[in-house]
Amino acid sequence: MLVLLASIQGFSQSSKVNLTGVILTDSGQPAEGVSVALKGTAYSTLTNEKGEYELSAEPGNYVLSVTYVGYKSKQTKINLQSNQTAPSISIEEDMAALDEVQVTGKTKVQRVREQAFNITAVDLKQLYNTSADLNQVLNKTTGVRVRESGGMGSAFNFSLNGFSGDQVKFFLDGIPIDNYGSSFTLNNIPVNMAERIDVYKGVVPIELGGDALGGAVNIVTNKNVNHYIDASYSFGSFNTHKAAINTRFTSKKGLVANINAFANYSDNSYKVDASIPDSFSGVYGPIQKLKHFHDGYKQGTVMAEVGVKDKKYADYLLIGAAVSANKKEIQQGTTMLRVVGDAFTDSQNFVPSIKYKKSNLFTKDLTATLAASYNIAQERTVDTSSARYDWSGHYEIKSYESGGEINTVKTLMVFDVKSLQSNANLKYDLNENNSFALNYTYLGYKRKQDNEYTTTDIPTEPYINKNILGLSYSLSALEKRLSYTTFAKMLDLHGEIMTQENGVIKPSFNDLGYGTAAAYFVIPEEFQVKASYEHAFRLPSAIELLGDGGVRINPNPTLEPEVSDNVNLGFAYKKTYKVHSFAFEGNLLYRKANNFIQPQLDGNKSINVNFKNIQVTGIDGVIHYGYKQWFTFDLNTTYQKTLNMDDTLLPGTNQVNYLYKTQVPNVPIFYGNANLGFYFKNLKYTDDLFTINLSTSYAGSYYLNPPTLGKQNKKEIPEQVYYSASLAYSLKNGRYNIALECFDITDVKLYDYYNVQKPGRSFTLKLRYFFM
Amino acid sequence: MKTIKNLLALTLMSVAFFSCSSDNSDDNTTEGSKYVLGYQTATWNSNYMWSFDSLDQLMTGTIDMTGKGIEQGGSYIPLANTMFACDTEVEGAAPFYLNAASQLVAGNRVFIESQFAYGVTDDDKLLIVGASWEGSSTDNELIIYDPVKQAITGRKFNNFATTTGRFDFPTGVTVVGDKVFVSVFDRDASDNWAIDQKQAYIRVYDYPSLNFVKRIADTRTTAVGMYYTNTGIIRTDSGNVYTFSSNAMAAGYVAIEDEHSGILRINKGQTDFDANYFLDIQASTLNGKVIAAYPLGGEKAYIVYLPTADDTVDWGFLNHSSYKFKSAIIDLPSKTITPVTGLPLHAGDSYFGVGSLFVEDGNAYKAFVTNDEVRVYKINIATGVATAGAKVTGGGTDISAITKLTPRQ
Repeated sequence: MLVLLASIQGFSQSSKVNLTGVILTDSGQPAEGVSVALKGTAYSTLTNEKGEYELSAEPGNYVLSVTYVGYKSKQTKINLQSNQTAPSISIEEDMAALDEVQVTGKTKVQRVREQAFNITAVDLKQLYNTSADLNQVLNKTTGVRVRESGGMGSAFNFSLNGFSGDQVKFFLDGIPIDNYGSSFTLNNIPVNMAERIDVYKGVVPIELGGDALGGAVNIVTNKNVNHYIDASYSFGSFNTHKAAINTRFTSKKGLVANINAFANYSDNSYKVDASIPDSFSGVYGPIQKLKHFHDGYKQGTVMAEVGVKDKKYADYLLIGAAVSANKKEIQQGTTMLRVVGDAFTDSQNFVPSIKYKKSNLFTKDLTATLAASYNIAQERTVDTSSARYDWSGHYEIKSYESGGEINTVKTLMVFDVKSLQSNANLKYDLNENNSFALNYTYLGYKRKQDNEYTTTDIPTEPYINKNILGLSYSLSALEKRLSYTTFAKMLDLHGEIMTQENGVIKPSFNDLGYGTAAAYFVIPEEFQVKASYEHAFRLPSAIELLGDGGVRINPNPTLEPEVSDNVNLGFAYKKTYKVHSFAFEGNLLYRKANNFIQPQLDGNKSINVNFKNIQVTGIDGVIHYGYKQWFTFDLNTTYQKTLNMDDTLLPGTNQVNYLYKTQVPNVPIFYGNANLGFYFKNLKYTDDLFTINLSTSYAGSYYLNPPTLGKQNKKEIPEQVYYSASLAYSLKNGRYNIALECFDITDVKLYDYYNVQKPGRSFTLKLRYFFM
Repeated sequence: MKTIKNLLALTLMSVAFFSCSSDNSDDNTTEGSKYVLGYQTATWNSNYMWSFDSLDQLMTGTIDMTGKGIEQGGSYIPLANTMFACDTEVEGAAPFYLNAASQLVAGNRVFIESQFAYGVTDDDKLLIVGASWEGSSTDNELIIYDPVKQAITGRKFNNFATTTGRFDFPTGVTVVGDKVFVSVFDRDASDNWAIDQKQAYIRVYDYPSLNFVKRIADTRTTAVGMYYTNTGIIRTDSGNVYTFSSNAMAAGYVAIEDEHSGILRINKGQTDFDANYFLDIQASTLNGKVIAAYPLGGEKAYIVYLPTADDTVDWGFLNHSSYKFKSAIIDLPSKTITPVTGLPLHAGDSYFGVGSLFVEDGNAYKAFVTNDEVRVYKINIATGVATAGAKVTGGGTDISAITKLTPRQ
């Protein structure tokens, strides 16, 4: 067989022909996610929502193999000579799986989950009718906590198993999304833009590049569908509007055009509990419900790509550009005590990009991909007001406080940023079981920063260049029951920062990281165990080293890279019994990080410091139950302890750190989510679907300051439980959709930070049109 | 049904009972006066207030706020039988006092912005100067806070501008009778501060009208006090005002050669420096620079000084960034200097030190941070002999204030 395989593939570089077709279930419905392969070759694909597939292969005689869990597999002989369409194939449900069986085949999401990495793949398709942004979706995933300082467009901190900020890297199809600027972040990207989100915990494959310390999030768009349009508009409480259009056109000659456009607007005029101090006596009045009056957000992004696919010189080659702009008013300082009524931030970005993939480059089984983007951005922070507001919106000009509203000096900070991100991968499949990959990632970041409000301030032009080289080896053995990968990354950073006090500082780092991951199916398709380890480095980011021009974050050019040893152990079990399906997942994690970079209050602002040593131990679990195709229940929970592992208090002293091995303050510890879904098909029409979703989220309390200290009046981010519900109705197999959602039904007061109240109950109506 | 109701009632009663009993098990149940201290930590504004029964607790064992104390940010200022927590963050400033049950409780909170300098008046009010640190405005506000009314009772703006492009920045306040004395340093409004070290400056105001009277200057020494410490100007029992000029890097200044660190006096009822009084600390037997002063009662002051040769760390007094400070007791009228003995080399205060020294029965109590530990010392005011007391543990980085309160009936 191997000889035959070799000879078929040895056929070489002769041009490929396409085989297209459609797979239907025996009831005539398109079957999505069905595996279609040319038996004995590496050529395989999955069907799309319409049951369609497309395979490219050298001309020859093949056996077309169609497999789908719960259905009998089917094999058909194909004589492939030129581009052709295969007759449609119907698959029959398996004898053992009578019509009561409710689980469908192995989806792409499941395949991703079975990788050796500790990975959570979030299937976004089920969420297309919700108005959630990606933050809200990810916040319901184990190990993930997104802490927001307010409503739409507000600053947020994404934490993953104890790592947060720049320790976790974000990608869109492998391109780091921070290069798209602040108009393209997890809190404004609509769910409809992507097919799924892969959350890598602790150990990150080299293909994504970058220097994540403890995880990465890759937003994966759908690339299999050739034509579609997905347009949606939602509006809701606090004058919030969201619109998105995602579309793709592919010509028969292989010309491709993608357009993704989205816009968000909100007044964020939600009410908070606040009191107003008397302007003379300073005495606080009674607590009142008062509206956010300066918290508006608007944002627009258009991303367009044109290119070709399935050409001799490229599997795809796409050239694109993203244009975006946003403006966010600021309502408060670090806590609600400081009310802000004039300061705002805005930015404009222009981001050209290129994406390229070529398989069988020079030699068979060598695949090259390149993704690069160049960000030209202007970002401004405007804080020049002498007014001092209270929560009623009234203000006085306090001239002795005539710094800005947030800053001790009036600030009109302008950053002109130019950054190049490039991620190149070479993958070589030695044979069916062994492959090698090489990744090279480059980040060049430079910016001109100037406080245009003052003339005494000297404009500076700091820059940072990062080079990361990764090499990996992957093995798939024991009939695919065992998968194994090992990798090494070389990280290099050079930069130059000019500080007002210390003159020019040139940070420079060179580090070697490495890791490995293994997964084994103890019971094939049912019970899998996983283990992974990485010795990871994260180079300080531009903002950590350089600050934000002294607006909120002061520069700290003496920062060291973070280093962490990350260990994950996990299992996943799933089983279907006729009408019932069960799945369980559990993970244990351990992180030991040195030189942990953490923001620390620095007067009224923050500064990033190397908090010397942190240890995170955590456990998380997922339970899923499904009954036929009518009902699902999902529950997940995360518990993690983050300990201060510094053994001296101050460098250069002999003082004991009495907080050694105590919980690090202001870090979430325990949280979880539960979701109940009901699905009613064929209510009035044969192609309609009515969905009810009820969900609840829980977050345990934690303290702002060292938790061991104090007894009374402790500053606490309180325990919170809130409930949400949504109703969605779809017609014509999902072409027309309407959904109504209520978030935080009982209007519980929500906090992610001490004394910073988030929006409570809100209603949203979403209309969506989808055509493929 | 009745049974269920009874069960419910029983449950509610037991809940109420248990909550009561847990209240009663609080730290502060005994009657009578109590001592109160402020416990600072390495986390900015994460401070704890704790009441305790006896000064012995300052002298033995450990002071550890693990599971104890009231979390309250800010500078703690002992004032009129209250410990006033002057906090500009989170829920504002609050007076803490002992209620009739001798429990330490917070009074009404008030909003006070940008308090850079403060001091206690003769009639037990707090006088605060609201200022702009970066000098973006020179219009400062003088504020009177009344701890009895638990409210601000007076406000007046005054322009601290001096000559073109220069202004005064407040470093401390004291009030004697009907006069307010604000110690200041004079700086350039630009980023290059160019602080005037050639003279000591005091701004004088009427009290309680807060009308500006005049600005006085003295060429015998340098700028008085230092940023945010309020430990550069004190009032003695006789009503004289003494000012302390550091001429030190450790206090954030450029030390100049032709001026000396020293102490000036404004006599009671006067609004000018006493031309006949100057205690040159740099030329004294201490051969050092006075950085901070704390009243000891009578006419004495406790000073923290730095040997002149060790004045090498910029802002070394704040943030515990230098451990080369020493202490001495000065009888101010007689200029008698008693060096404190038995006290290791120590650090300065971490910002909020104005109420950090407590006097009772001829002894001063204050915590000192050394290279190895944080520990309370008892200093005999007559002899200057220091005795080591309780060690501060649990994450405390300093004791920022100590006072004694009696219950309010």
